[in-house]
Parts: sequence; structure tokens; C-alpha cells
Amino acid sequence: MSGTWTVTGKSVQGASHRRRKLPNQDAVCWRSGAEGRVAVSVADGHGSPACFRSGDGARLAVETATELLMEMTEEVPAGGATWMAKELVRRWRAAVERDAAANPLPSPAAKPRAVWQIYGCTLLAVSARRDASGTDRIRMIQIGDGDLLLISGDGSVRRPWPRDPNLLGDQTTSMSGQNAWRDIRIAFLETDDPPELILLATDGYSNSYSRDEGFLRVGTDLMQSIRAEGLPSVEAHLEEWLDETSRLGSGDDITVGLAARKGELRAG
Amino acid sequence: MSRRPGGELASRPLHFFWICDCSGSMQTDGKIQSLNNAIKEAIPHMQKAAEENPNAEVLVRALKFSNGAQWHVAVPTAVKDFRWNDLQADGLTDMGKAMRLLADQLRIPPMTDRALPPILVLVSDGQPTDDYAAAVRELLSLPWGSRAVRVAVAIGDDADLDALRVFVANPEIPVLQAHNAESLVNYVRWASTAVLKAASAPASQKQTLSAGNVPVPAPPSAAAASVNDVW
Repeated sequence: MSGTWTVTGKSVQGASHRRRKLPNQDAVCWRSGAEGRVAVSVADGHGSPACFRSGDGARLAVETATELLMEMTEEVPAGGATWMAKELVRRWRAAVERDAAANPLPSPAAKPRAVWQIYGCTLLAVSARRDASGTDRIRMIQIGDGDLLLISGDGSVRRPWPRDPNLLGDQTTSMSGQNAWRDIRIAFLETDDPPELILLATDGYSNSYSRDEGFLRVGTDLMQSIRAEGLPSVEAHLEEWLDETSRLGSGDDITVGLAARKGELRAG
Repeated sequence: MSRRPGGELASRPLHFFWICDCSGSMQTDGKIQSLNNAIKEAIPHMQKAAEENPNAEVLVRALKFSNGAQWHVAVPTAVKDFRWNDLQADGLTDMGKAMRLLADQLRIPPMTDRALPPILVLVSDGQPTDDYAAAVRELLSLPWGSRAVRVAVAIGDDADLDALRVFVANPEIPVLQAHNAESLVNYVRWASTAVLKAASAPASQKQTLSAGNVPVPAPPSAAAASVNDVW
């Protein structure tokens, strides 16, 4: 269907995780729904000893965020970004508590003051829909490191907000923060000139490039590949590309979510 | 078929700094030569530790301080190519000037935001003779200064432990106290292998106010005072 969006994603275990026999602690989730609305989310579990269920935290975060974005029929919810941030954290914590109840902690000593602290993760999420008037409505969410790129039809790439200069050395804001909702960045975009491709990625992707320009080129190159060969062809190669990128780059798990406009791109 | 998207890939840089006291007192009882020997002994172990993680590019530099401070190895040198030329000891203990030289290199740029947390290893047997407190405050005020893994080794009983604690700025990491050549070798090797491995493959950490974000492994336990103690 012309003018609507399609979504996909891929997550690969990092090369250094493979060497150290650690699981992939990233997660990805995407959905397509009524009225052409799509949503995709990626998350990166911290993996530190203090967050020993962070892989589960990441899985619950992408499921929660994707579900929330798909549920919201109003483009800008009552209460706006603040409501959305608080609701996201409330739902994630509830999901974590259900998970912890179903999977008791190995020992009472392992129980933190708040159970969500051991499920810590970052999160990036996007939803997109073209309405009847032809306006594209895009919602974007980020907490912690990782990248959200908007790629225009002319190949230019931008971020919806600057990278947080305080997130250095694998130190990050987190869904498990005491006041996590305050650290969540949210943007609502209504536009007649939307990006053709939106890319979400955990930090293992951009950390694999010697320069940020090299990472931004990922967006342009993917858009051109989708145009030339179709989204299914790109999907078929994503795992191989991400594996190679982790092996020759950061060694970290890498997870990507893509939202592409069908009308402009060959989505297959 | 489509090629991999994006530009040039690269492993993440991990900058390792030796910060060595070369004041006159380091001549006493062979301390400076013991430090030279300890670092030389550690290099092959450091190279082996670095080889285990090809996703980290370990780059080594060395600073010395006595009357002022100078780079002993100024160029970030790939650990596989790193060689140690012996230090000589003479003069005062201008540790603050070393902190300022270090701070200049931990700013962004020349550092990048994709680097792994740098490792700073300070070895000293004495008390700072310059404005050390302000200089170390400046270092710790930098994003990479506060996030660096900072290790301090005190040689002998005359080292200023308080000054070294200010540098480490983390109650979970003790100042290591070497009283003989053997314990100095053990501490230097630990810093250049176990700490290196921890910093080269860090897990993400929830942002906190505490200094550093690399879980530093336990150092070798301090040997009880023995007849071998010379410092």
C-alpha cells in the first residue's frame, strides 16, 4: 500500500559476548497495526553483575514500548511527553515485577531494594503512521545510549536530539533509574516531508565506527539498498552485516530496528 | 549483492597511562630500577591480555614527574609495539604538573566519546611538591577523568597515601602499598592485565555519581610485613 510504513529489525550476539560465552542481552520488537500504524523498539541490557536480568529487562522494555505506541490512538496523548514517559516506566516496572514473581530470584541476598534495578536496560522506540490527510505522524522515545537516525530522501541523516555528552564509557541512563521517566527523551513529529527511513540502533553499532560520519553513512547506505533491492533483500543480509560489524568493530551486541516508508522505497 | 553499509570499522581505543614518580627519593634502595623492571616484566603479560580482546585497541603512554613533568612515551603506542626505556630519578615530586599534562590528553578531543574507559596508573614514593590538589581536581572534573579507572601504587612508607587516595577517588579501590620489589611487580602486573581486561570489555552501567564505571577486579592481597621489605 503506497504511503504507509513498514518495520523490521535484527539483533546479533556481539563478537566479544561470543568469546566470553555471554548471551545476547539486546532485544528488538516490531508490530504493524490498524490504520497503517507501525512501531519498532530496540533495547540494550546493561549486562553488569548488578543487572543480572538485564536481558529480560530489555525484552520487556521493547515489548512494553511497542505495545504502548501501538495502543495510542491520539497522536499526542493527553499530558503529552511527560504522561508517556511515566506510563512507559510504570508499565515496564509492572512487567518486571510479574516476571520476577514468575521467576523467583536465586537467593534472598540477590534481591535489591527495587526489583527492577536488576533488569536495567536502555530503550529506543519509534512509531509512524500516515493519516488520511497525508501527514506523517512519528513518535520517538529514547533513554540511555544508542542512536536514532532520521534519513531523508536526499540521503541526509539527522538525529532528533543531540547525543548526550554525559553518556561516556558505557555509562548510561537507564530504565532502571530511580526517576527514569525524567531521563526519557520523547519527540512527536507531524510532517508532510517525513524521513524515508528511521533507524534505531543499540550503542554497539555506532561504537563500531572509527568516526560518527561512518556510522551516519549506515543510514544513507541502507536507504539506497532498500530503494535498489527492496527491504526483503536488506533484511536477508542484516544478520551478516551486523555480525561483521561487531567482529571488526566494538565486539558488542548490535540490534537494529528499521521503519521504512513503503511509498518511496521498494519494500518488496 | 549489497555491501555492508557504513564507513570504516574500528575496534574501540583503550588508552593506558603509566604515571611515574622520578623524584630523587626514587633512587634510594633501588626503587626506580625496581619500577623499571616491574613495568618491563609486565609488558608481555599486558600484550597477551590485550590480544584476548581484538575489539579493544590498547594504546599505551607514560608520564614522568620530578622537577616538572614530561612525557616519557608521548605517542599513544599500540601495546604490541610498546617498549620500555628505563627512567632515571632526580629532583622534586611535581605530581600536580603530571596531572595537568594528563588532563590535557583526556579532553574531548583529543579523546573520542567512543573510547573505552582509560586506565591511569600512578606510582609514587613521596609527597607532592607542587599544587597537586587543584590539578587532580581539574583532572577529575573532566568526563573522561572521572570515568577513568584510576589505580595508585605507593612505594614504601613515605608515600603520601592521602594524595594517592584523592587521585583514586573511589573507596572501593584501595591504594596499593609495595614494600619490596616482588609486591611492586605483582601490583604492576595486576594493573596491566586484570584491570586492562576489565576495562576492555565493560558491561553497561546505570549512570551513578560514583567515580568510574568499570568493576575493578580485586588486587593481589598485600603480603604481611616480611624480612624482604626494603621500603
